Amino acid sequence: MTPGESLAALLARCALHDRRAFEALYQQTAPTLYGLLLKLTRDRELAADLLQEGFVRVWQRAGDYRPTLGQPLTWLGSIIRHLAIDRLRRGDHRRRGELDDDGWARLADDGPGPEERLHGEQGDATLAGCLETLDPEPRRAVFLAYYEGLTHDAIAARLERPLGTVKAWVRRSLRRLKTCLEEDA
Amino acid sequence: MNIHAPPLRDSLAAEYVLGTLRGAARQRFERLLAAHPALRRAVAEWERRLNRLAVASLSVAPPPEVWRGLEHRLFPAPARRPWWDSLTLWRGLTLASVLAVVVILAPQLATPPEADAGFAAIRNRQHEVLWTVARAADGRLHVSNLRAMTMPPDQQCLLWLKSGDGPPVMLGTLPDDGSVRTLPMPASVAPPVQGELWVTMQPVATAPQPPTQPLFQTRWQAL
Repeated sequence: MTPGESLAALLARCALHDRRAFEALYQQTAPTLYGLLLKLTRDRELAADLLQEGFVRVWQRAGDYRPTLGQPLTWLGSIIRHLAIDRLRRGDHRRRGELDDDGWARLADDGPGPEERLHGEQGDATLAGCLETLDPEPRRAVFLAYYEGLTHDAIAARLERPLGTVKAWVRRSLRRLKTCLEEDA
Repeated sequence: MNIHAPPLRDSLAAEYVLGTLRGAARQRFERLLAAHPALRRAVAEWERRLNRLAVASLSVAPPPEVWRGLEHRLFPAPARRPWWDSLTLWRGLTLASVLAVVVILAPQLATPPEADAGFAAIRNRQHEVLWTVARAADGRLHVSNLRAMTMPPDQQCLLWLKSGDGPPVMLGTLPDDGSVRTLPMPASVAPPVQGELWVTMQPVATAPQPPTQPLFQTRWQAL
């Protein structure tokens, strides 16, 4: 297995039940997906459970991957994040308090934000460009919903803005993102 | 909610994927999803759009238990017992008798009547047989795909003969739909046909290049 083997090729091999390809896929993508889950759930144990459940599905569904469904990491993100949102919205999960060790501090740290990482080498410059067309507060609302799994109410509380304003921001931002991404396609 | 109005359908799908659709509205939407393909398409499109954001998450090394748990769940190791364990002994005896039957019956089952001693089984890493290859007396290869596989539509599996230090010689495209295919032996391969069989997977659209390493490989077995 060469290190540079594309994620799409690894997924194709997973579809043939190639365990080594699955392991390579896991090694290359699990840290990003675990980071996503940690921030969404704020619960290490739950994030680890969801990561495992997600990769079981990846193994079972690798043959369903098509390039038209997006980049491999987008497709993996769809599987993993859907599980997380589903768990959060079913309401049988109580968020734990924030962990106070180094790992959590790093996650909670404002550091380089998603915008900076989207501009980075492994990022998505097109998406970054589209996000930049949004005003800062609506963009922040979308990020809080996507990365932290916040509801409209929670976003309104965090940004100290009226609920109606936040709902309109999110709705309009999604519409603008769609238009912008379609123009690029 | 009138989910047949495209703008509403689209904005509900977007908020469903983002996670801001919640409570009773989310449950109602999920019930509608099951019955409305257009809604499922809208959700898939929004997943493709919004989950491009996943690439910008912070990377955090997952705990090693996650991978161990995956291996345990997906690839359970066969149980190991001491040699004197009577159950294992019985299993071994049973396996031996099954093998004997396979060896006796295999030429009739897997190869046409005119087949000579060339037979090979190509297995995946879980040791499940994916294809059998039987060489007939006229040199042609009868390739059976034992069960249909889910292949990406733009990829195909190719069979190669690798002998000596030279590059592998392509024998043909392997069936992946559970069918049997007959492949002519290339004129460049002179009998006796020796060496390893290699399987590679590559895009349908590009001309096959001799591989430097196989996805799966196997040797001829004499029957």
